[in-house]
Amino acid sequence: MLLAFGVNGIARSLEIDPETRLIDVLRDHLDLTGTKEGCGEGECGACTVLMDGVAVNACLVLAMQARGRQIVTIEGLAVAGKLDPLQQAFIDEGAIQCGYCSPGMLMSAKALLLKNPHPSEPEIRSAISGNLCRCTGYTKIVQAVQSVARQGGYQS
Amino acid sequence: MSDLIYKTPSDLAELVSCLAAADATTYVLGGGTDFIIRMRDRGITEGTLIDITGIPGLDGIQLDGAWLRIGANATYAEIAESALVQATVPCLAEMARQIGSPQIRNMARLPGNIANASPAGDSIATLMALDASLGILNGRGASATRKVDGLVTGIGKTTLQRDEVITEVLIPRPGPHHRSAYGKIGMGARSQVVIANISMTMALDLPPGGTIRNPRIVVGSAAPTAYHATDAEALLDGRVPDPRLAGELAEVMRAQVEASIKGIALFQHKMNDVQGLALDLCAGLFGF
Repeated sequence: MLLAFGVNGIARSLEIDPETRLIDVLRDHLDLTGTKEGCGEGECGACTVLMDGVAVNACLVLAMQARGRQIVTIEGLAVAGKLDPLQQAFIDEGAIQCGYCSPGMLMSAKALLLKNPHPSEPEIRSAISGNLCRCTGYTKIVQAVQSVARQGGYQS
Repeated sequence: MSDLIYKTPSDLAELVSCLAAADATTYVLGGGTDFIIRMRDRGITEGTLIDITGIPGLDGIQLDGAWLRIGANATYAEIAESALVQATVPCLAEMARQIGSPQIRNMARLPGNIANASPAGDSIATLMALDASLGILNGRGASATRKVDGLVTGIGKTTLQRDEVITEVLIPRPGPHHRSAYGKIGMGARSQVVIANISMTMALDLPPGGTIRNPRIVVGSAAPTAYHATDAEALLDGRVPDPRLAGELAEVMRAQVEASIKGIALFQHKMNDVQGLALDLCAGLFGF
């Protein structure tokens, strides 16, 4: 059946089976492989993307549920070749080790800052509580998000 | 080629005609966070999905003369953040805040949690404590209300029929002296495994300087279905809260849970857990 939705600002329209998940469309149909599949059960958050501005697990959303909606993946964060301030902060603060959780972690952090540009540390930890990281121990990730929040002037 | 059909009714009349043809392979889809896992685990490749999220009028949270009405499409995130829910039934806001993960709360909704009837379905126990009912629509277009209490008959089993859909959750409008609190021990976004989980919801009326009335205490994740802690409800009914009450309640709750876990060694910890929850909830409700 026909799925029409927006991905990273581009209108997309494609033919899919109803059981196709959002993550399958992103990775297999649109070659947006930055979104990772970890557990496939909503436990790890590696597949987190934004749907109409809020974080969702792309492994727990059928692609048809995204009809008419706007999806942002990790590939959509950088604008005109310039990294999003969050991405730059993750690099600067050393918030990345193996990197598998990073796309999902960044999207959850992005969803938080879109809603709350100046979160407290507990708010940051709550916002990334659905994202598992087995390398960093989370401290540097929290610091990276805090550094963006402190910079102020965080734009979209 | 898939043998699944995806339907997107745009109003209640279309929904009724979808439901009229419902059979054992018809699935009503809200947020889908439980269904998609089930679909993959069980290899569901045929049948009909009815996505109700595009139906106007099934969203929103409103207070009218008789009910706090929570539309079927209100997400846990919306419930947790609703000032109306926080002010009227704080236990429900707290339950919604603690369920799943942020990503799941942005998609999942109450009706799916109820209809799937997981032993760890956090919302069922809280809705039972609030004496909630459900607005139900069937394939003949008839509407009915049915209490959440008694709806769940076993693990994954409810009194809901194939052609019935939950359109709203109805919570009796709380009186001015209503108080409620919710606590959970356990973690994990999906909490499919109930080993480390137990929840307790307390709702009651307490006029200033008066006695406790209408106490409702429900335990979740300590038995195949959520249940009323009837001994604890009897302990509280008519009682003037005093500092001894929390300790007494904790002991009674321990005994209730001991009876419900039926000697399963893996669940022994839940007896201690519920004592802690009882103390926490009393501190929140009574201040000691």
